[in-house]
Amino acid sequence: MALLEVKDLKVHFPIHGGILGRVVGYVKAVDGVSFSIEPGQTIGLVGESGSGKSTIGKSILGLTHITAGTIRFDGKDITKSVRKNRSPYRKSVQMIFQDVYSSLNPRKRVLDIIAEPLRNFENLSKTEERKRVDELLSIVGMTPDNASKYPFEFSGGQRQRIGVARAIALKPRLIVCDEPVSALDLSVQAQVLNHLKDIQQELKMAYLFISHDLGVVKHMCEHLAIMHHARFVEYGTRKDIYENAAHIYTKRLIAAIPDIDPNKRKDNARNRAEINALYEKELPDYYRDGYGVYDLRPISDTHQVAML
Amino acid sequence: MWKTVVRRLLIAIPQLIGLSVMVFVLAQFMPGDALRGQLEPGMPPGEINRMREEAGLNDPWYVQYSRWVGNVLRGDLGRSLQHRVPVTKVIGDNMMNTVRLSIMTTILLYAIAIPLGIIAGRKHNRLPDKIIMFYIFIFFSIPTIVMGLLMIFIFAFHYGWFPAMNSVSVIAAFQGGWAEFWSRLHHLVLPSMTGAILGGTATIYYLRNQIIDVQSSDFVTTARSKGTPERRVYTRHILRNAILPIAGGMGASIAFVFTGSIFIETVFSINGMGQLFVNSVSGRDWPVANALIMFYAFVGVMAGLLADLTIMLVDPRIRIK
Amino acid sequence: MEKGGLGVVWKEIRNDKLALFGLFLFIGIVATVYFWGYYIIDETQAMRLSMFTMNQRPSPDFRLGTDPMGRCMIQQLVLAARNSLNISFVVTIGGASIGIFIGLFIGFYGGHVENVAMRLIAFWGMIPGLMLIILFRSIITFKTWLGFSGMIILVGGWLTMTGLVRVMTLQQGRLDYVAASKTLGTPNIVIMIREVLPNLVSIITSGLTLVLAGNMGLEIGLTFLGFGLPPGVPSLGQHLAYARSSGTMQQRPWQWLPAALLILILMLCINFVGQAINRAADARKRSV
Repeated sequence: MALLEVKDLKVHFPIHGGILGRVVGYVKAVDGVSFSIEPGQTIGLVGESGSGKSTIGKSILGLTHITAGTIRFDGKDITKSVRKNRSPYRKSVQMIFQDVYSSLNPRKRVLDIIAEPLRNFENLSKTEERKRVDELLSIVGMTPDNASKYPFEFSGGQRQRIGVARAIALKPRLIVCDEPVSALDLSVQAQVLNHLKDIQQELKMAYLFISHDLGVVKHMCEHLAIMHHARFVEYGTRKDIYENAAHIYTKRLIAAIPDIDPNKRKDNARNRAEINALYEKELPDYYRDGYGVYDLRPISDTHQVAML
Repeated sequence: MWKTVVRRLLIAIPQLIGLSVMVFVLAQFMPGDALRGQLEPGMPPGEINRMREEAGLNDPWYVQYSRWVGNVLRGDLGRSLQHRVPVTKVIGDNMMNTVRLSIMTTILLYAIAIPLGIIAGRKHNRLPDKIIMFYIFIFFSIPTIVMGLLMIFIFAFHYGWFPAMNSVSVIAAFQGGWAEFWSRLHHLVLPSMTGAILGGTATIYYLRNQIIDVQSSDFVTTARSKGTPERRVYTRHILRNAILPIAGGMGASIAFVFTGSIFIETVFSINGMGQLFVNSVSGRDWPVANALIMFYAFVGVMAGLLADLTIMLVDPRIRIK
Repeated sequence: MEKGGLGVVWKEIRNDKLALFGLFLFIGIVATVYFWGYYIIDETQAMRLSMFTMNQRPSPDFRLGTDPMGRCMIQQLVLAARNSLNISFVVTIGGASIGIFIGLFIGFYGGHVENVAMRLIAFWGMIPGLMLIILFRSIITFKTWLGFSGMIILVGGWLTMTGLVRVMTLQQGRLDYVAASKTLGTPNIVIMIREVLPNLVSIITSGLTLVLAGNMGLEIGLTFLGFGLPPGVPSLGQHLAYARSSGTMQQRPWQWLPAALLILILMLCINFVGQAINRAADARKRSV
């Protein structure tokens, strides 16, 4: 049975206008998205900014309202209760945030930050709590003496590791990683990513990995969903997407991955120009009226594409 | 832009209605009988009751309220219980003094605040700025009443340069013409200076900070680097941008001057609307007090609207919306 | 880096000589006035009228002269300052508590709650507060200064802080640490008080000084107009009201001028401190 099952999720935000501020339209941030995550699996969610990928993450965590669709966790429909702060679901699903500067309360010590979920769900004594926090810190590669410091005393990478320690405190079964490294220096990115991978193996967690960086996603995920215009345009295994992209948008994205080999510069440029020409030509096959994304249809056991 | 105006007015209407109900209901709780001025000792109770009935004072409050609203819409604000004349006339008699005071204060306020603000901004962190900041500090801290009393004590009594109270001397009012004009101006100096000096501190401070902010912005650096003369940098680039919010604050500052007039008028014994309000509340003259509160609220709404409109007119970025 | 607590506030004050001086002077005056007013002066004795010593100018017997009822001006001034400070403090603390609570609540929940609340507050804010207080005051007579303070709090004392806290909560609420707390299972009310509120401390203290000065001015103004404390109760506004008669103003300045100067000094102290706290609250202007 799937750990998390999202069905036909829609998140629309009203636009107010006119003299009386009535609703004159909707921004469709997510418009009919379905997918499921198996225990221990990592699924990557890729798309440009504004494509709705973060909104999917937020709706799973109950941080935004859901217009339509259902979210099932462990087979139970939790769509209605997902926005409640105190529910057992909270123990099972956690989030790692993009902005490492605002996701840690500047007025709290690291100890209090990491212990926050423990205090909410587990009745620990002070010494037990401190022991758990030290354990968590060591999992993310930090020493116990950091517990009494404040967030501003740490670098971006260290902050994100504190964020990870907090997210895994309750041993969740799914973590939504919303661009967990895109705010960090390149040199630190790999460090944090490797930590995430190790922890996943140790604790057997599933990841929903949201990113716009195809390189990072390739490193992390065995399954990928490509988002465009609030819907999935392609879904498949890493191999399906990187070696056998079917949707024109995916092809463009992959062509845009930078290459460090200077000898291939001309090839890459030609390749990009070709794909761009293809994009212009075949646009109607992939988008209804040049915008709307079609429903996904399977082209192999693991591979689905949204096209006519 | 008209959309904004209409929306703001539409929002203001229920607010004004709500306020009128509230004020009206409050007035019902005011101690003292509205008729007491007309009663004579020894009147039989039946007679009093007849008079109450006639004046509609025995009706339930909502009947009285709807009658009052109907009259207001026809321009009839009722009769003052103290002065026994229509409320409109009482207010009209007092209004001009407040208007004169407000205009004079506003003129002085900007005449003081704009140059000081500019100087402080240009000489940021140097002596003139420090002096002006100190000035702001002192006058920001003084309550209107204390300031007014000190002004009278020093300039009216000690030096005798200006009259301490009233808005015109009796003789000059009788003479009319220029004599009256000069006398009024002479009487206005102290109260309007009090208001202008106190009310101007916020404007000076704001203008100064604006200029400091704008001075360090990129487009000013660009203007300087392409060789624009310093004078021009100031007039065309810095001032134009720094003065914007001041224009926006104009509405608010007029409203401030208007409402602040309660204290100034009382201290300087000027027969304006503020003093009228105080006197009518003390005298339980609720038709006048009611009308004044509504009037002030209306002025407040209008000033807010005016402030937004001026900003929209002068700031192209907001105009687009 | 980002810190919003009392530590920064204190550092700013310590680094600003004027603010430090203002703070100590203010505390000194307040302590003196309370100690003198509550423990040294026998209030019934001090308030007793004396026909023989009416309106005396300052002399070795009465260093600041006597008031129109023949009472020692120094004692009157201390009692007046004590009462005025009482009102200012109570109105400030009461209004701020209500304002912080409402501001946190509507700023945190946003959406419809905020829309409705903002309409109501805009409505309330449109009302000329001073006039409304005057109107209320003329309807209800207050026997004690506490009731009078309560009325001021309810009529308008909470507005400033509500607005301030609402905006700041709105800003903080968009930050990820609030979202994180939600996903970690912390109840909303706890997030508001334990997570958001500590980040507003320096803004709130900066607002408090402004509100304190405003409330002091309000008491003075209302009493001066005759709508403040009952006539028998000494207050700084009542002393200023002596100057409404031009005879007193000109010939007996000892009856009102000391109060005027005391008000001036207190206000200056509050604003000196407020200026420093203001810098602490605004990270860009901070000097430490």
